[in-house]
Amino acid sequence: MRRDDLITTIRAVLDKTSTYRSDAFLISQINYGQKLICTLTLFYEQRDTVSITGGRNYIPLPKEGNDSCIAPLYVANTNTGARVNYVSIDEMEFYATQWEGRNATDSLYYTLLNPFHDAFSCIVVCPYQTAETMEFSFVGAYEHNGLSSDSAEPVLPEEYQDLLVLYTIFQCFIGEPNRVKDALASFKQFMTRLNQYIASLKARFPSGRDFEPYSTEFSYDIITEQEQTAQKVEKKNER
Amino acid sequence: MNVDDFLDEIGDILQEDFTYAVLWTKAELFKYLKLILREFSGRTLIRDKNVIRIVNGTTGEADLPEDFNQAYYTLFNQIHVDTVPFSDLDFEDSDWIANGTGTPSSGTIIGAGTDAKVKFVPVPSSVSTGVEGTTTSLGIKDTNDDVWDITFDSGVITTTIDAGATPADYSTGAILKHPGGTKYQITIATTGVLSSTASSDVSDYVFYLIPDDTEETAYHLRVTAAGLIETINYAYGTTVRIDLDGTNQSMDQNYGVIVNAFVGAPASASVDSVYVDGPLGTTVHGFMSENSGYIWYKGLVQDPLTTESALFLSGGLRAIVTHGVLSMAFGKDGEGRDSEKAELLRYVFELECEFVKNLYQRKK
Repeated sequence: MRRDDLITTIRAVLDKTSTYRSDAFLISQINYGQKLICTLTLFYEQRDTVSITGGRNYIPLPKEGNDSCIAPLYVANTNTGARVNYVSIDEMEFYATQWEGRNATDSLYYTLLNPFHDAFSCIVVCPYQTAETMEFSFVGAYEHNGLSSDSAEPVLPEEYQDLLVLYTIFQCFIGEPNRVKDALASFKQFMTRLNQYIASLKARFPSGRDFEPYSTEFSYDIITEQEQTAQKVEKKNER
Repeated sequence: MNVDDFLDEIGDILQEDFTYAVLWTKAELFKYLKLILREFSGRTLIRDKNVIRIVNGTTGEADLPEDFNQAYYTLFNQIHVDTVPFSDLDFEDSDWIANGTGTPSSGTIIGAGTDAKVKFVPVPSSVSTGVEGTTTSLGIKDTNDDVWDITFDSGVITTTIDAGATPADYSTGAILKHPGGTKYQITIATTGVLSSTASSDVSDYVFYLIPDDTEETAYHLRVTAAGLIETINYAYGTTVRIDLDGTNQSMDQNYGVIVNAFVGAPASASVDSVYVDGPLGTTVHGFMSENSGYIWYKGLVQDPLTTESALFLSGGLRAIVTHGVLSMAFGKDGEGRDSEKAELLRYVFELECEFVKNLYQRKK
C-alpha cells in the first residue's frame, strides 16, 4: 500500500470519528509506527559491509543507505567469509585471558554493545583483524528511515501494513479528549496483530512453524459452509 | 534528532503549540523526558557502557560513574574477576576487610547510584596511579575573550564557558602534536566548537584530563595526522557524540560537539571545519587497562543537557519514550490532566520496555 493510500485509509477511520489530523502528523506517526515495529520484531533484514581502520576491537553497526542497523543477526569476516560467532562478553575469556588488543587474520567472536543505532552502538570483536583495513559483512536487523513520498511503500509485507494504520490511529486518539477507550482498543489490536506478525516471522522456517503443509495426497475433510449451515439448522430443530 | 524537535513532536500529539493557552510547557516536557529516559534505561537495560577506573592502592576501591546501574563484566589488569556479594568475599580471603594485598580475583559492588564503588579483593599490590601532569581541564579562549573549559564526559569532549576565569591567563589555542610529528593548533569558536589548524609552532603538548576530582578516569586530548581531534583514555577510546541524519555534519552546526571526525579538505594547509562521517563508537586498542579496573556495565541513556542536545535514541525507541513522556504529561495536575490516558500510556510504555528487554537481554 502506498503512503497516500495509507493516509486515505487512516483518514477514513478518523473522519467517522470526527477526528482531524494533518497529513504531516499522520506521515510522522506512520513512520514512527514502522520504526517501532522494526525495533520490536527485527523484521527488516539487510546485508551490508563495514570497513574500518584496523587495530581496534570496536566496530560500528553499519548503515544501508539511510536505514540504520539496530542489531546484527550474522557477522562474518569479509576477506575470508568465515563467520564471526556471537558470544557474551565474559566468554571472550575462552579465546584468551587478556583478550583485549589481541589480533589475528580473522576475528572469531563478537558481542553486541548497545543495540539500536546511535553513536554508541557497536560490536566488540575478538581478536581484531590484523589487516590495515578491517572488513566485516553483516546481516542485520535495520530500522527503516521512513516513507519519504506519497508513492513510497512500507517495508512491511502487505498483509501486515494494517499495523501502521492501527498505530497511527492510536496516536491520534491519544491527543483527542475523551477518546481513551478508543485509543486502548486501537493499541490492543495493534499488539495482537504485532504478535501475529512475529509468529509469522518465526514461521518462515520449519522450526518455527505451528503447522505443516499438507502432503501431496490428502483427504478432503473440509466442511463446506453449506454443510455447516445445515448442521446448525438440524441442531436448532432438535431443540 | 535533538530534544527540541522531539518535544515539538510530542506537542503535535498533545495538540499543544506551546504558545497560546498553554496546557503543557516545553520546559516541563523536558523534565518528564529526563525522568523517562532514566526509567527507560533501567527497565530495558539497553545502554551498555564500559569504563576504566584507577583503583585506590590502599582500599582496592574505585568510584563508578554517575550513570552506573549494574556491572556485568569486571576486570582488573585486563583479567576477569568474579563479582560477588560481600559475604562471598570470605571464600576469597577470610579477612578481606583488612585490605590485604595480592592479585585480585574477586570484586564486589558497594553502594548504588552516584555512591557506587567497585572493590577488588585482594587489594591489588600494584595499581596504576594515573598519568603524570594530569589536570582537570584545559582552558582556551575564543575571539570574544570568553574562556572555555574543555573537559571529558566518558570520553566525549564537552566545552563549557568558564565565567570565573581571567582571560589574560589563557591563550587562544593549544598546540597538539600527532604521533607522526605534524602539529595542529586547537582553537575554539565563540559557539564552543573546537577546530584544528595545521601549525608551525615549535611547542607541543599532550593534555591529560580527568572529568573531575572524584572521577579517576584519565583521558588525553590529541590530534591525529589528519587533523582529527580525539580523546584517548587508557582504552584508547574515541567516542562520538553527534546528531547524525545520514549526512556529514559540519561541526559548526553542532554546539559543543565532539569528535571523531575528518577534516573537510585534508589536502589543504589550513582547515576550519571538521566533519563526521558516521558514528564510530568507541575505539579500543590493545593492552590499555594495565593495573586498573575495567568495568562493563548497564548505564543510563545520555542525559540531554539542553533542548539543543541530541537525543541518542533510534526512532523505534523514541516512539517508546514518547509514550512515557505523554503518560507523565497527562498525569500532571491541571487542565490537561487525564488520568485514564496517563494510566493507558504508562501501561503501553511499560509493555514496550518489557518487550525490548526481552529481546535484547539474555535470560537466565
